[in-house]
Amino acid sequence: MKNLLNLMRFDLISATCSAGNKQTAAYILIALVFLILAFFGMPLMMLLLFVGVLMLTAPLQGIAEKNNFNKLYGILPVPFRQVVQARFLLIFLSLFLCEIVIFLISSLSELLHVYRFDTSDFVIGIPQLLMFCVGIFAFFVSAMSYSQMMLWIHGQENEMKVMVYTMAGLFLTGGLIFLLMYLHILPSPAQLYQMLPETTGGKLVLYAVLHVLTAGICAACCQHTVKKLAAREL
Amino acid sequence: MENILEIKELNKSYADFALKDVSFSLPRGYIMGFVGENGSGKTTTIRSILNMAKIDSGKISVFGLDSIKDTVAIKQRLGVVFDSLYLAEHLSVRQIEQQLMPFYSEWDTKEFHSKIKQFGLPEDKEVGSFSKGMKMKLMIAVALSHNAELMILDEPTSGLDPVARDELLDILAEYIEDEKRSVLFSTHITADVERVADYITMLHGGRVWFTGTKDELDGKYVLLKGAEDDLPDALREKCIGFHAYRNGFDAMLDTQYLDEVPDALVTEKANIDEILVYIAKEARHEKSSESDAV
Repeated sequence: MKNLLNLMRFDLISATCSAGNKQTAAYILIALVFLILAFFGMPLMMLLLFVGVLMLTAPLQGIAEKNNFNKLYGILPVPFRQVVQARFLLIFLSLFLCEIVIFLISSLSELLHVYRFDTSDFVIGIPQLLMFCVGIFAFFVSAMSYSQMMLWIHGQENEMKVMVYTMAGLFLTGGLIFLLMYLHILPSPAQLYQMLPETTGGKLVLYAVLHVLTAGICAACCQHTVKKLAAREL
Repeated sequence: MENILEIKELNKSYADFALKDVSFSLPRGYIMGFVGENGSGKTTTIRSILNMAKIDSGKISVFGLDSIKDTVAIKQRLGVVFDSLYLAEHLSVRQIEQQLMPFYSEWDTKEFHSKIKQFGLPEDKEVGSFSKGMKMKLMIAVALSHNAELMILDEPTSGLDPVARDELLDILAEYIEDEKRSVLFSTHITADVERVADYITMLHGGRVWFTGTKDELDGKYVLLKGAEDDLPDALREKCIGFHAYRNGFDAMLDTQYLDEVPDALVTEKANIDEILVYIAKEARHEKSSESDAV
């Protein structure tokens, strides 16, 4: 576990720091913009915040691509499988953190009755927001885990271009789902909420199960990647 | 004498290249120069030691530990310098230390900063903007800061100016002064080997051509020159990299055959560069003979 934490720390320093600290400042600015957008309560903005967090992983690919980190991974006193595991864990934890932050911000926005566009049948109240956040979390973690797995298996995990395409694909898919919900072609969040268990306890259990399931998908993708890469040379 | 590194019958094949039965050992407290022309297998051997390449057969022991089974424990005690920087180029020296420090149980921050100061490296500048010599020194500082007992360097001096090369070689010589640490460095700049190496392993075409002390290699081969007519057929068979030209021939000869050399021929000691050149000539000669036979 210590190695996994060290590797995540390693990746985060790579992605967020630069010698002049300009990169750190840029990240804080991006995060602030997304948080302010989320505060105004638009679901699409929440999606943007998730994508914002996903963007954090893009520089990782670019940095690894530019710096030939595979050589470094071959030198560090950690098994290579842990390098892979750390990437998956970072995806899960960063999106989980994002889920919490976005829920808190949007709930605050709801409580303070901050102006929103007319989305009355789209998201209503804090309980629906929670469902919404859990749904987005499950979608993005699963999709990101799957795409990470495919990238690693095809040796493209360090290719910035492929990662950007993947993220754009995820964003478009998410956006399309929102659009279909908004146009009532797919059930809206309000309708979906009606399908959930009636009691609060029941809903919370469902959310917990969904989180466990998402963690399971992430772990399965990770495990499969590790197995496929067992014979890889660095 | 305890061996810090031992390689026995290492085999590793790729589609277009193979290491064949590579065996050599490096005793503790010495520097070994690992020489051979480009594509001779130096880097593949180093990657095999680091378990970055999966070997087909053979055994590699570092500090008496198995290079595959105990790779993590080995890397705690190993310093590696590649010909290009493998660290994040957009980070500063301080940020790189923050990244690497947690991985090494014996990381010594004081030692790291003292080396950075000694090597004259700026701590807050992007390391990507460093000169090649500075990048080499940074990788060495990293290796020295976690108390590495064996330093492996892959072509560290290629592309360095003479002053930077000289500094680097001084650092290596100083590194082994306590006689507990060793250095394996691959290079095709044989002057560096002549200067600091105690042992030499010479690779050619994926095979070990020579391994032993520098002194052993020093007296092992001579260059043979003269008129082709003065060269007995039996001796010609023993020549390495024989090359005939209009006024005579030149070749390399193992000194064990020196008493067979007629007085009319001239001999002179072969240096490492010349040995490499004649080995390559011999290989080309063998290759063309094989294709002629086909």
